[in-house]
Amino acid sequence: MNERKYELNKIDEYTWEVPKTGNMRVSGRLFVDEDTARGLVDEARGGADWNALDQVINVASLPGIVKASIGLADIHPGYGFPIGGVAAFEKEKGVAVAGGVGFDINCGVRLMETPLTTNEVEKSKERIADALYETIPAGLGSEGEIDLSINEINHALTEGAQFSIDRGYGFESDREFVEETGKIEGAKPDHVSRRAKQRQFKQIGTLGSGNHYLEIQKVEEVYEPEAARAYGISEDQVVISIHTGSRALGHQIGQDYLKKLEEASKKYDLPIMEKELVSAPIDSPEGHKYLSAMRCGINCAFANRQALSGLARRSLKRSIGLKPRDIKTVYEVGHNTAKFERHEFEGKNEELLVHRKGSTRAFGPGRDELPEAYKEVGGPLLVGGTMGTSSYILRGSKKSMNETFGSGIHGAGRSMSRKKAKSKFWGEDVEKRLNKEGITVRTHSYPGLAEEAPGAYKDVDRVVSSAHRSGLTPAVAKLKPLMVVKG
Amino acid sequence: MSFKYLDHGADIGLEVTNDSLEGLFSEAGRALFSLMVDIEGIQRDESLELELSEQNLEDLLYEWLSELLSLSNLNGQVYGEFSKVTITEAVSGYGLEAVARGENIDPEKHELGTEVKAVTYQGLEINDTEDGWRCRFVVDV
Repeated sequence: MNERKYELNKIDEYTWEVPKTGNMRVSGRLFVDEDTARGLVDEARGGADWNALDQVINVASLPGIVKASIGLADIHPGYGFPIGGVAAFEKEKGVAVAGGVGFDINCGVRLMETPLTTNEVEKSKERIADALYETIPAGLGSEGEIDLSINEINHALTEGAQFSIDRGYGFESDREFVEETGKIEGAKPDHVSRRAKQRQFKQIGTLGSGNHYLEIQKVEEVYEPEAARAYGISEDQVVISIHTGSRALGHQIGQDYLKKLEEASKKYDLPIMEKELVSAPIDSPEGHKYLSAMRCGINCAFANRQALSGLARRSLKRSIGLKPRDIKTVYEVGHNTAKFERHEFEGKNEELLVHRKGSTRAFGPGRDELPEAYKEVGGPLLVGGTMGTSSYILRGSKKSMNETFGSGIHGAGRSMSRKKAKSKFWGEDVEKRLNKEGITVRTHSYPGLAEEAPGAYKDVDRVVSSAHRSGLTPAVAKLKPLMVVKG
Repeated sequence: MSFKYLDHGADIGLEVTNDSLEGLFSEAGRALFSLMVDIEGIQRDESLELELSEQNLEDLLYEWLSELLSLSNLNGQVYGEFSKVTITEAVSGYGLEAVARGENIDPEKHELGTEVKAVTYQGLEINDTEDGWRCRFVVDV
């Protein structure tokens, strides 16, 4: 790796090319501002043993990758792939990469809208927060109220959101507004280990910990009224965001297949540039098995967020008498997936395996996969902020279709390690500060609260500003938290 | 306590030192669970036997920590003591046997920390230094 020069070519203010050198099969493309670009180069040149630019270059060197190895505005080092990384592979010659999905398969965000305005919840904030805290299982060792057998788990892994709807969590109408309508085809539970399934017996309908959260937010500002109208969003409206993933099942699939794909990499003579960048040919028994297991993880996350949506509705009914049917799903979209999708590139129109690691699908206007109501304006991206900072709704565009295989940012990206965050912020202080800003907090872990302190993240406003100004994913609305429930 | 937290980008890095290889594995296990609860307060009510074999020490450490994490989650328990740790070297690699002792996770009793998604290979190393054994690893939280 020492011969790498880490030179970038500036294409425009928010686009940088990593020229094709060495073993790279395609160039790299970074959609970041100048400061971020410089930071990435400095880190790599400074010899940081874990840096995102080297990871972009490593991904560009994998067989069957097309067009470019992509880094988005929230790029930071991940495991094998950078987080905020996108790569698409040809079906015949390409590879499936476990590191391109990660350990939290189909981690994502569900956004729901309510008929309430900020004023209407202001006086009930404590009551609502208490109900959410009591109803939503969160934090280390927490268990959901659905206790499953192995047969039922298998069912959840193929049915996704429908599994939870059938058990009374939410409504059929939710599914239209979930990516893949809440169920991805080609999920085969036989390829998921018994251990992974057993770990999930009591985890459907649990939030987890770390950066996962449930927030009651207000729509603070609308930037694009037409798109906001299509999404059913207006200023001062109260909405609900749920950020979590496939829980222990996804973690165990990630762990199990790291080993299997390492063996496959050796068997098929594929490059292993990092231990977590192992892969298998898409069209091989190992590739098929990984993808079908990973899809089980995708469906598990759909089932989980659907169950949590039901619990959130129940909490609002219990605390302020809001009818569950009056809470409607705006959209749900994941940011750790690998999926077959048809894309145009270099004059071709092909089905590709698109890996999005810490990147949200950003389909532009007209794509068949979008809900009918969103086809004209493009699909929503739900970008999570952190406690006390804003979240955003962006939308996909023609440019995201042309440049990034219909992909955009997913969050703020950490700027401070969790160790530093813990020593700098005390959980209780963080809570006090948030309370001062009018944000009610309920947490199962004060140390965890400190780790997730807003100051530990890059400025989400700046990341969104880059994503917006680059023209890839224009900003539709800004959401500000009113209440936060964390594990 | 012979482990410390490292600055490691987005997630948590740990460095563990010990005079013996067995002690190192035991301390690495305690370091892992220190992220989840206050390990000094863990009772030794439950026990778990582990037996692993891997081709090299890095893989053995990775497997040890991953297995502890996975079993902890499966059983809803945390472990604070590792006894009867034996590591044997054979032609084909290394073998490990150990007994983990701990108790059920109880939010009423334990001050809960972070759930760990996975142990990673990022920066994972294990070395026999002049000052004894040392290992480093990063977890995804």
